[in-house]
Amino acid sequence: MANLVVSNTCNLHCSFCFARDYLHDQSGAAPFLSPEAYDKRLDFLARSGMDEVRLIGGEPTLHPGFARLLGRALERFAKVVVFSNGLAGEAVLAALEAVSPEALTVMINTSASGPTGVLSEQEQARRAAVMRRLGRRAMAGYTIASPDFDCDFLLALIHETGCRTSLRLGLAQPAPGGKNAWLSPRDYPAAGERIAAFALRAAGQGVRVELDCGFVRCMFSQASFDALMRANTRFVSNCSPVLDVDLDGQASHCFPLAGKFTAPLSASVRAQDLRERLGQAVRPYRLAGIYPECSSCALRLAQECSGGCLALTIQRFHPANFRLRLPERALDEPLES
Amino acid sequence: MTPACYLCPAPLVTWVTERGCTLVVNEENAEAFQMTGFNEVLWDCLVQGFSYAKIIQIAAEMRAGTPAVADEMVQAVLREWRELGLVRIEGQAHG
Repeated sequence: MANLVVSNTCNLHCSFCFARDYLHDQSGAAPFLSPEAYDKRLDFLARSGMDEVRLIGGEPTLHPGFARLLGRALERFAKVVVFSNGLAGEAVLAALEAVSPEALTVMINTSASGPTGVLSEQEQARRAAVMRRLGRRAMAGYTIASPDFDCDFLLALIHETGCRTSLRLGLAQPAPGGKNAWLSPRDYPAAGERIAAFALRAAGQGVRVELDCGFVRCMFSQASFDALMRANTRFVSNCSPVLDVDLDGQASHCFPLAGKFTAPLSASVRAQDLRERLGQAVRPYRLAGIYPECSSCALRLAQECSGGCLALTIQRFHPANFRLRLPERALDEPLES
Repeated sequence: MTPACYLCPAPLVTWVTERGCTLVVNEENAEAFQMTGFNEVLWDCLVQGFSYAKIIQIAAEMRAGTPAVADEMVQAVLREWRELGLVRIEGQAHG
């Protein structure tokens, strides 16, 4: 899978957004992907053997030609996934409604609530209306940015709007500059307890929780993990190159690692090549994890846990910065200039 | 005029303390090194900014050896790290 950035602007600017720096840095550039560049991205997906197009931003539905982007994708691919804040305008919503639920998933981040963390009543009503009209095309998501998060409101929203009875939970991860709000691994165990309790309540109401990337096994006590399993929660501790392709045609391992590990989208490159290249670049960091214990953890060595988000792992590392004056006898090889 | 020479890390070298080892990564060639024992202590001395004399003193105490033996051991490890591309020598002429 690969995500295509089609817009680097957003109408919410949430505190936890890991694309915040990207949006800010790109503020002087054209904010939307051109039709020509978009077609080249689709060529890339096709030659990579992918059957779905995943559109991200910023807010992808703000693209002025969004309906055309959607149509072009569906001409060539079986499925489209749109990652949105759920505040789409009427024209976009009409275009989305015209696609069958089997061919479209709109992942709506219901925690997207702008810099203040609170949506206006109008915005809340709009999001609910969008979810209602999209019905089974919509799937709710929620980003956990605090250990005392509360997303119980979603259970009623899911049933009231008729969207899919699955809920994707993600952990707020640090952006490359780390200026966004993200959940510290110190808070993972507390968040884990809440997630497990919520998953059980959700299951009791017919909603299945799916955990996104970056979760680690040890954030759940055995009792909590058992609860997750009883609730049929999807838990796969993984961290692999998603490939987020930005407006400039640079593919990154994922947004939190954008700018650090990137590779250009050339005319012939395939996703497999980029994954291999980016995977190779980050490989040495895979020996570590988000905690000092990860590198010697049995669950990690048994590949039952990825060690958590690589952006968090890399953040633990210090740049080597020393300058040791050597005695003349110390090294006998010629000096470098 | 005798040039002073300095031991510095290669440009894209990072490190982290793990439980039981120090992990050193050289991004330039995508390599990682798990340092334990004497090598881990030596790396720690470098990032702490200790002088060469102090490093030799620590190495001698650690291995219960003479300063001369410790000096040889330290030099051997530093030479190995140079060959691995983790550190490099920079020369600087005295004023």
